[in-house]
Amino acid sequence: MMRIGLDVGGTNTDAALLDGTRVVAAVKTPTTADATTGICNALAALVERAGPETRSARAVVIGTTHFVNAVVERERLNRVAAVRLCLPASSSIPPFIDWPDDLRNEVRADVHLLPGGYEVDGREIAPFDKAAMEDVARRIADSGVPAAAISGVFSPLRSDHERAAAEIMERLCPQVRVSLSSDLGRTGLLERENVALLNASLFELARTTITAFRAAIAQSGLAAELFLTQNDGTVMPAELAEQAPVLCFSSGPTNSMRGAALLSGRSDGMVIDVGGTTSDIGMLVNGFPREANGVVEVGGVRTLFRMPDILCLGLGGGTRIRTDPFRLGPDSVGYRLTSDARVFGGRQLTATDMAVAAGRARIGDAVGVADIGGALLSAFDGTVRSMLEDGIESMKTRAGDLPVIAVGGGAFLIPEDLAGVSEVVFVEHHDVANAVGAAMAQICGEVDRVFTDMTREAALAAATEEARDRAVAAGACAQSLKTVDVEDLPLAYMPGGARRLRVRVAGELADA
Amino acid sequence: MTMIDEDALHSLAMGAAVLSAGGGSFPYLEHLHAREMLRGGARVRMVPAESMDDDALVAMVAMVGAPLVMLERLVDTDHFVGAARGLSRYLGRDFDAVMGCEIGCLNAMIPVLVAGSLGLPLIDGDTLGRSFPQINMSSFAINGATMAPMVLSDIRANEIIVSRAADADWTEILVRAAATALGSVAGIATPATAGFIKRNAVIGSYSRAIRIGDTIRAAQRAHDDVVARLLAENEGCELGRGRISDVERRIEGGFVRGEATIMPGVSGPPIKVAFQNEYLVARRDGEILSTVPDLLCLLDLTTGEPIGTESLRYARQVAIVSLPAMAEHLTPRAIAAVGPRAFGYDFDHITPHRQQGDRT
Repeated sequence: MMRIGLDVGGTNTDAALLDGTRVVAAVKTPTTADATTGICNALAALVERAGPETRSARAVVIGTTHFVNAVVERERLNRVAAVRLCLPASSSIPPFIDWPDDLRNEVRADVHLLPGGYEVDGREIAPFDKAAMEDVARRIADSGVPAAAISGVFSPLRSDHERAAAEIMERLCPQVRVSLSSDLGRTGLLERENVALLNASLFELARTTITAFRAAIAQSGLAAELFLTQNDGTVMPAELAEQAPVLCFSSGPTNSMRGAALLSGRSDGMVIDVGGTTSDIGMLVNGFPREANGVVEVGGVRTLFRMPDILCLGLGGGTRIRTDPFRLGPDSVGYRLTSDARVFGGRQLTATDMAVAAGRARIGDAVGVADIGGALLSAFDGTVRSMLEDGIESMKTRAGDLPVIAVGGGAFLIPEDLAGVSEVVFVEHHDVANAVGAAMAQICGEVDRVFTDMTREAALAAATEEARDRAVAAGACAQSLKTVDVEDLPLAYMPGGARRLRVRVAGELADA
Repeated sequence: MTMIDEDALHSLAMGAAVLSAGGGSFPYLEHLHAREMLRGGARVRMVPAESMDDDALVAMVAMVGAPLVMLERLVDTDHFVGAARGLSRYLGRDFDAVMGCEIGCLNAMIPVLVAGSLGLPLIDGDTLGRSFPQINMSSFAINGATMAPMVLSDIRANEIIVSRAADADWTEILVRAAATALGSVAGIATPATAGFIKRNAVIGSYSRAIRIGDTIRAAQRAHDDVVARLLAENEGCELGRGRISDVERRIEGGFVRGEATIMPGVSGPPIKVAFQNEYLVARRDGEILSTVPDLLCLLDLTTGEPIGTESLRYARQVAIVSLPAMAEHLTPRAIAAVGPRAFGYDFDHITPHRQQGDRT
């Protein structure tokens, strides 16, 4: 079955056509200011390379940094009203309290605290106040904000109050799009609420971005279904992604790591993805990125949801080099590499120029770097080595040498003999590993519900079975399914040893 | 006298998470709330118990309930000040100082909030030297105090006074039942004279927590091995490290009980760590490695930060660490109150550390 993977990064848009697990063709094109044009260009280049069979692809899977970049850059975000169902509890630490000032100023609209939410045993903290919520919904409608986030105490346990509030919003202000904390995050009110607030702040961007993606696919003459990749290396249909843009936050590094696994045929090791501006280091475990432990800060905001554990270093192909005294980065010429770098006739000295001067890469014209001396080259080599070796060491979970899989357009910057590394694996198509990873992203099945009158083992088995059935129904190959997440919350307030179980399984797309 | 400034507050919160033995992770919310209070101009003076007159009256304060609940209900100073105010009303006397019942995790921060809010000095000490799940495990109770009268306050207009109790076991039973009814979290306050504190409290536990926090933060800043630094400075040992492969939890009588299974990185049998709010027993293949009152602690392998039982999650990478029990917890009376049998196990204290008696 043919699939197209696209990775829309800040600098490049990469595309890969896969037949099963075989890479048929891959291209690298510049990202454009408007997403449609960039993707059209990439798809056109892919058709040119692979021929008209490209158009028979059944799925286009896109990984994009649009959403996380908007949060990091504090741009293209819409304002969000916050509704928290908690009173008389949880009022001392209000929504947005620990956000960086600039981001808070960009996003925060009115904050409303209302009676409601649940105790740990499932009783109501206070009854849901319908009249008060209707009043809040009207005020939100009058304020003209396009989005709202609703959080409630212990909503992962019981989301009834959050849903009741959402229904009132739907009835009284249907133009305001609503994000519920119980749909996105885990136990931990402030962090789960932050995820819902960030998600709601991206609604307008998500709509325009996904509309642009769809237009590009249509304009390219493809009839494929559109998927977006998620933080955990699985895909979701575009309609769902529009509701949950936060789940796409870290799909760039995730896709690179999944692509590295496929291209190298290895399921464990360290992956280094060297791009134009930065290098991402992540640990591959059973073919998936290791998940971050607990809270992850995004743009300075604490969040608690499914994210990969990634270390980002300021080393990329476009990283600028100063010579007197020697200094590496942290700035990069970015997408201007092909005009500004010395080997491309420009005046800026970059990491790519150093690699060419050292004979590690053949890019552009080496005449531009003929004057680079040995002292400078050894300073560069030493700095790069210590950066990467320290980074790899800090991502290791135990002592001992590990293989490194080198991917990304700047993979040639990675020395072959790093300390603490058993071998550095270079692979074909390394420069489009992220697009390959997007195309290969897995289908998942999830069950999240209450099981009663069963032993824990029986409930776990039943939940896993259900999750597997759902994944297979969504197109996954049953033999390839693996459990990727298990969460278990006992519900003491309900009879019959009730527990809420969340089980996620993921596997390869089955051949149609 | 020491002023608790923002830097000391940060180290206190970190050290208190280690001393909580799994009772909590870094108390982010309580730290955030206390920091906002300091930034708002509140001053918190920490004083040694020795500096107080014997007849000075001290409000002993704490949160009683499940730490997990605080992640959702969030901390509210008024909730905890309410218990001290209620006790003051009941006794018809004002307090001269505030002291914590328990140095572990968020319970180390509550007295800071109450002291700051009431403008009273905070005494450098507590009654546990770490975390334990029950009131009757405090050094006051081990030495025969009933811990009554005790006032419980709620976020609503509820206030409960246990005016008299047969012993501290009954105080625990009554307070636990009331706290469970209030949503598994309540503010408590009980009175003690400074003289009684000097004879029966764990002295200097706030300073110890700040020192441990300083060690971890310094190691983090220097990108040193946090686990190794912590073990070196506290005579501890590592029981193993690996990936959490299963976490089972159940709620029993207001406590979250359960067990985490950690698969070692390379090979070998898993280590199972049982908990009741705090880590109690670590076993490998049925062999008991370390039990309460040893201070068991799970540290995140990436950051070195302590992980509370509420944050145990499938696939987390951890080191399992045991710090030696305090001498106060190794007397026969203390072992009876806080040893494995007090938590329903049919074995005695088992430890990888040299016992105090071993030292010559």
